Amino acid sequence: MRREQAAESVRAQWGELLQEIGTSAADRYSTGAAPPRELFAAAGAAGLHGLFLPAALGGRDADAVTWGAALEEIGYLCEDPAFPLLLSIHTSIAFLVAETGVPRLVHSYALPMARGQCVPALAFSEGTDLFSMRTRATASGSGFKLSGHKEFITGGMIADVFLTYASTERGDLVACLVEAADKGVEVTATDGFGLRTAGPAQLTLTDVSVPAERVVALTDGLSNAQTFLNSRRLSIASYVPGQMRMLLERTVTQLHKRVRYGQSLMNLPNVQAAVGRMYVALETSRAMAHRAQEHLDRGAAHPVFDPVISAAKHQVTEQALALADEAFRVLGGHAYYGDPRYGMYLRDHFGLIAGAGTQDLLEINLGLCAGRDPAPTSHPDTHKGSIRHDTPVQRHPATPGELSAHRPDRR
Amino acid sequence: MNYQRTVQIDAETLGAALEQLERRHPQMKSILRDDSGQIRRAHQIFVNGEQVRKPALDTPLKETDRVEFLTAIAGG
Ligand SMILES: Cc1cc2nc3c(=O)[nH]c(=O)nc-3n(C[C@H](O)[C@H](O)[C@H](O)COP(=O)(O)OP(=O)(O)OC[C@H]3O[C@@H](n4cnc5c(N)ncnc54)[C@H](O)[C@@H]3O)c2cc1C
Repeated sequence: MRREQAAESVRAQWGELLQEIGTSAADRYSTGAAPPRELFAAAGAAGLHGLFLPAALGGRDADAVTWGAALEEIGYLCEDPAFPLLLSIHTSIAFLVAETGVPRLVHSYALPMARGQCVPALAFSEGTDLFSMRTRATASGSGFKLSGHKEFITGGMIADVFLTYASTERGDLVACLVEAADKGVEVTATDGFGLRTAGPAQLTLTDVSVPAERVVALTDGLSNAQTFLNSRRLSIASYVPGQMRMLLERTVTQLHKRVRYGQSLMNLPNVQAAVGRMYVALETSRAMAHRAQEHLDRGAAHPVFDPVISAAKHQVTEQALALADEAFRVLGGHAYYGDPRYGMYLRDHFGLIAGAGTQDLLEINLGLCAGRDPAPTSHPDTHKGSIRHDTPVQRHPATPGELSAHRPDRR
Repeated sequence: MNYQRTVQIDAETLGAALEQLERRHPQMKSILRDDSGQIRRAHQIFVNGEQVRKPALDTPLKETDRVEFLTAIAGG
């Protein structure tokens, strides 16, 4: 019921705005343009961001079930396929900044973000492993000077501020806010295989001064980023089923119209079976997303890497791609050249294979979590009084990611 | 750590165990701890199979305890 109410409230309160944001999405997709920036401010003013934010930021303090249902509906309704992604990145960063509890950060950044007046983006990945980031944060006065390059930032072209992660001299990561208008900041448009309405950008930083007041995490930025990415995975798992529902309905409508040998394609049993598989893909995804949302609401989720949430992101991604595959098979050339939405959908969802934790790495991490020895002391390989370290996804030469089972050091 | 997954250590607290581990394998320090010396939150720590929700350096250990680190991290 709560889910239906949330979806209904999205339709009633923001349906028109979402339609406006989706206007000309197909044209913008071909030119690679993000939704006009003013529409984010309009959405903020209309309270859309508040749906995902705490009361302290003027938000509704909604639980994950409610905002998850709202995101699914936005994914379904909005013709701009990147909008739910951009919105959820935007509100996740506002949330993270607000969680610092630092009044200046909340006042100068989190609140304007919550109102849609300040657009944030994430500047994290840079084509290295997480212990080898090359963007440097060198202590300067009470703050830092940042230099480096971030290779692919969703929403970077419309961002006012970048949540940026950089390595300190001692090897830790700091997280801080870099403004697009800061001296030494260069934002350049970039292109990807999909999500072309997400305004992706590269960010180059040359001796950019970041005052102490803009530091979001002074130490352990690695865990700060992982916490952020954990929540990103739930947002992805939540909005994608809305886009799957849209594609399923679009496909069924088209199949009814297409006549071959005197009957609609929808009457053919093989086509019905394909639509059946698409439906299973959708419902599997929704079930996974709903379970993860409820898991978070129960307070059962691990804040840094939660297996239920990661499994949901993983499976929704796979199912979203499987659904498109079915559509391409039963729609013939139509999906390929008759309606741009299919190509957009396919390209966008391919991005989820790498985004927010690659599918491969999530599988390794999930295997590690699920594969823990349930009764370690009774296992024949157990070594009493020992420290064991399993770190599957690091590639730094010095990291235990390269540790594999060997004989223990028996002193 | 030369591909070793398990080491044996004599220590009465988690912090003391880490110090010993880092003495033997100095490269572990910046992986396990942040600049302030605290254990990074990205590491999930289990003592005898039970997850320690808020691991602290003064978490007591007794003989035969088994401490596991599980580090599930991924990119953006
Ligand atoms: C649609 C999209 C949006 C994005 N948006 C942003 C954004 O807004 N901000 C941002 O900062 N970044 C963004 N990125 C970048 C994204 O964070 C990275 O692509 C992602 O973290 C993967 O990193 P990588 O590309 O370097 O892949 P790699 O780290 O090279 O991983 C590729 C593959 O290598 C293998 N591999 C890597 N490490 C290991 C290991 N330790 N053990 C075993 N196998 C391993 C796995 O098969 C893995 O899937 C985006 C990417 C996409 C596709």
